[in-house]
Amino acid sequence: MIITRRKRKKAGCEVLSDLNLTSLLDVLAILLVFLLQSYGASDLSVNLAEELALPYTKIRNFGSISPIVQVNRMRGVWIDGEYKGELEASEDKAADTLDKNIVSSLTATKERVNKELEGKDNHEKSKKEALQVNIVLDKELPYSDVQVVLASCAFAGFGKFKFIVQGED
Amino acid sequence: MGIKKRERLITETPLNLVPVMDCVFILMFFLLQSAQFIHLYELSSETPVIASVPSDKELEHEPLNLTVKVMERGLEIRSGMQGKLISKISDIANKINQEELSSQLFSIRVKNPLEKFVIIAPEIDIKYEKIVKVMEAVNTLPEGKKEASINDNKGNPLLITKNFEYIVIEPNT
Repeated sequence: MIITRRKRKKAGCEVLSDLNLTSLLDVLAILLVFLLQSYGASDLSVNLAEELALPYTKIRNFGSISPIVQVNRMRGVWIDGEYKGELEASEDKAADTLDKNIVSSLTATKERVNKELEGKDNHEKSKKEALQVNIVLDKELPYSDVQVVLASCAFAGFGKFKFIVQGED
Repeated sequence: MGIKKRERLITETPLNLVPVMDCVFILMFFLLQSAQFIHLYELSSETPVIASVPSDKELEHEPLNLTVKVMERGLEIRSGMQGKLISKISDIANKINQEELSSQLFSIRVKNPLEKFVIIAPEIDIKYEKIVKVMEAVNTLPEGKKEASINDNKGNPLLITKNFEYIVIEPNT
């Protein structure tokens, strides 16, 4: 026995013990389950503005990529993640009050989309007729503010409103 | 010689976990990229369109013009050009009675199978959350059904997955 060890030392080939991967695999398995649970099939991603709590729903319709208009509890307006100022106040709560920030930003987006569609086939062109906008609003906002957002989007040519809401467990 | 053979049989080769770990690592990057910690969904609505009918031209039949009025303490379901009241639904503990609304809308749809639009008319101070709940009731069939079969005007079966397919939010003037 002693002779064998000495021989091994001389030859420089020490026996290496196997790397214990069991604990690492345990961690990976837990992480995998957690990530599978939070997997989202929707291609829509929204960086929610501050002070914005979404209403909950049981509906499971996945969102799609479109311009995103966000209005938080303090009536701040974000368009595609960029802060644009405060939502236009409608003192008389008139239905035709428009927010100039939303109108100008969405009009610019529409013009960009139209330019991109130039020279494309009729099928692609027909899509522009149904321009849609993702609307992310705080659940506490009154309807007077909601209709300012809707009227502004419609005025800019975005006729399909997609209200983004949070899934209820 | 016999003992050596038995020893060789008992010795277990370690399980090769390297391909499994490779696979798990690839899957993890994919899942990390697509992980959503807030699950977002959408509720659709259309822009209201105003159509005027010339006074000399008479309609073949009166449009359903189904309207859900959202008020502080409840809902009203109205229909027709004159907005005839069909029913009133009171809130329960300051929350709308979604199940009742859904079942009433479903029974209206059964009587009007080809009608696809419903108008939501909230009062000016109604919170957005309440409007969403009404939209949800329009989009879901009663008793949590995923689909239902109704008969169209000619008696042919029609499969529906929502009470009404399209929602129009009416501006409050």
